[in-house]
Amino acid sequence: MSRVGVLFTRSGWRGVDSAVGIDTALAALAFEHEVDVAFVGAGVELLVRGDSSDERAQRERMIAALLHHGARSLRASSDCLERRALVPHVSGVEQMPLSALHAWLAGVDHVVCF
Amino acid sequence: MRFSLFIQDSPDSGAAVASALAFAIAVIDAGHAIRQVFFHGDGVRCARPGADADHDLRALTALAARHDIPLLACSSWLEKLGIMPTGPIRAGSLGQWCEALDDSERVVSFRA
Repeated sequence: MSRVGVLFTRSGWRGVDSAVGIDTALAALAFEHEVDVAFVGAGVELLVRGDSSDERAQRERMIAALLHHGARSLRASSDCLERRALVPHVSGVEQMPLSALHAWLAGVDHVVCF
Repeated sequence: MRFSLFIQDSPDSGAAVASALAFAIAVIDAGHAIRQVFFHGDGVRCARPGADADHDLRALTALAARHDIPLLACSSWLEKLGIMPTGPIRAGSLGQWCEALDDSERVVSFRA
């Protein structure tokens, strides 16, 4: 069992990226790896409720479901949220300063970036 | 050290494959090994017929053949994009990538 960090750095405007990342995180969980998820840069925009399109709503549900499926944590950069004046709408998201990202990276064996 | 590479974009959309190739050469030259190269998302376009017209992709597949490195493209994305792989990149599952995690000390992801 490995510790896998899934890092989202892009906004939902490139919807494929977030879908690939969510698929990857779910697969790692299904294979009993430990998964930590983090959102930095434009990736924090994935945590904000936008327009009411089905695709965005589904993505929000899938991100929220990562905790239900066993992800150890969902963390978002408080600096990146603040800079964009955003408040995450996805439940269970812990905020961390960007300065804590190195500790997050050190706590996992592998990082995949989307 | 054993590495696995995770490629998320095709040569058409950026430098992901070129970067992965340069990294793979450096890894092998330094005496390390590559456990698996996995293509996901748009990266599975590397498996479409004719994709090896790209110099970097052709060099990557040749390197993989020389060092017996599995090249796998996510079967779900192949199906989603309507691609039937015919070359050295075979269809594989995210499960095979997940299994490779335990045999790899590091996964490095590449995208455009």
